[in-house]
Amino acid sequence: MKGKRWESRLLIATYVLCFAMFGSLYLLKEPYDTGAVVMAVIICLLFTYGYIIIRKFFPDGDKFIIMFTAVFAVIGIATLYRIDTSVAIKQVVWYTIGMTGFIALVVLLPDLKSFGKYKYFFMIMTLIFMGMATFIGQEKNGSKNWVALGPIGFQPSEFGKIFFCAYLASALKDYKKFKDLIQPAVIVMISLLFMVLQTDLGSALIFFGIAITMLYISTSKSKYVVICFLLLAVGAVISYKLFPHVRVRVNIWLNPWSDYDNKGYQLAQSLMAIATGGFLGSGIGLGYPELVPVQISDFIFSVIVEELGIIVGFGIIILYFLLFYRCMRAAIFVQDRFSQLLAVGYSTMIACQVLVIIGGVIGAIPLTGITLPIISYGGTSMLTAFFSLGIIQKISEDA
Amino acid sequence: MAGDINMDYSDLIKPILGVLVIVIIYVIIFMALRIMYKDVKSGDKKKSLKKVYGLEVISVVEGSNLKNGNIVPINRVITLGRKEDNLVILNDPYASGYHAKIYPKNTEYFVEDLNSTNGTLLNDEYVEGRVPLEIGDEIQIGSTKFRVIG
Repeated sequence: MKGKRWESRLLIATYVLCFAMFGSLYLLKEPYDTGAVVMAVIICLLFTYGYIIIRKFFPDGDKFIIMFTAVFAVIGIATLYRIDTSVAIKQVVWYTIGMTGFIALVVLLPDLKSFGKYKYFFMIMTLIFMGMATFIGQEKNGSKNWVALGPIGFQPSEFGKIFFCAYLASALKDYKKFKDLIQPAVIVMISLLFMVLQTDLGSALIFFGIAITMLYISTSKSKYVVICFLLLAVGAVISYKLFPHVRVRVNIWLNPWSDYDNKGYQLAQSLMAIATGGFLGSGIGLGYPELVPVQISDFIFSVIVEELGIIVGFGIIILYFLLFYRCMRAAIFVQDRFSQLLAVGYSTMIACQVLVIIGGVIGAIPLTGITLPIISYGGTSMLTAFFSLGIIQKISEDA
Repeated sequence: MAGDINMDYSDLIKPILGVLVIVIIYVIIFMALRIMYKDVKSGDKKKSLKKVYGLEVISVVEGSNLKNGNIVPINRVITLGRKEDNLVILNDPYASGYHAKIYPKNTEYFVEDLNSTNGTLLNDEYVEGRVPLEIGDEIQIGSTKFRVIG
């Protein structure tokens, strides 16, 4: 019972964070902005509701996943509120939908084991979603990865990721000999090719990360990993030579200041925002988030760091790491092979996404536009993050 | 004038809130690590179930090590089968090596057939996948019968 007391303290700490952030936003405007307080109350009610359901009806499951998503949602929505109130309201709606989906998955989903046999269904869905944007996609922020079906616009590769992990888990769970790897390898290559054709390099990197981790977990042979990295190197060189947009990205990364006004603008602005923020940040409301491009999704990390300091940036990275640890923990303890690989796939997906985008905005690796899970604005990315975490939550009950 | 005083007031609070945000994020990390540390240290996780169900043996084959009226509490995963490393060993010619398992999960108890040759019967119906248990249910494996008691 002692553990329970600490858990409620954690819950209280999250409330304090929520009210501290929205409290600063409340004081920011003249007259004071009551909307911020309403927002804070709504968010607190949402994650408390989710936590109580998990705590009461599914006590065998992990309780941290929902707590960490609450912290990310608080930071994300407060930052969005600071940038643009209307975007923050939309994000709260997405957070509500994501949370509802998370709880619904945990309540309704039967035993996950039984999904292991739908290998070909997962395969077809993966190929459909991967290919969709290549054929009927529209260009958005330099990547042709956006599909509009009537009034609804979404990023098919985000949904593709979910099926991609499910397919790999069902294909690799029966791994015995090298021949079993040929079919998954072909599917992975086709997916990567589609991503490169859509100029969605960030997603390509994530797919590669997922595939290589799941391959290693299922075969535990390091030679496959080495071969994969060699193939990656060859693929990277070829796409560097072949596609101009890859060259542009690499050149910006090597020297963002050489073409400051034009192609290097995004990264240069992001680096300047981070540098201005310094260790403790300029304080909420005192930075200039409007100078950072794509500030509500891809570059939200730079905005947070500018106003709250790199120290909060580190905190966010640590929290993502802890989330990753909790997800992997579920994978370690679960008996069923399919569930295990699925949990590994989804937790790698989230971890890779964090590494790729944070590495990108701080200029550590070439910048590729993807979202920061749960913090960034975006309906599709919110839904996929909560969907995969919901599955992991379900798996953690068996662990 | 009143406005000025207000301004001073909020100027004082803003930096405090700023520091609070930083502090609380690290407090959350610290608390999470602390709970996780306890969780790692205590190893086997404890079940928070209020009611513990049990299995009462109500029918056995001859020569079995089980006797009518024996009670097995279901406080962890109970494996049943003919092999020696099961928790409940069934000396029953119709039982498989690893026949079935009965375990608590969340707030319920489940019985699961482990692809046994002759199947597991729950109230005279074959068990497929995992099925939740109620008090009074009868589980039959080969000729051995159990009743779920609360």
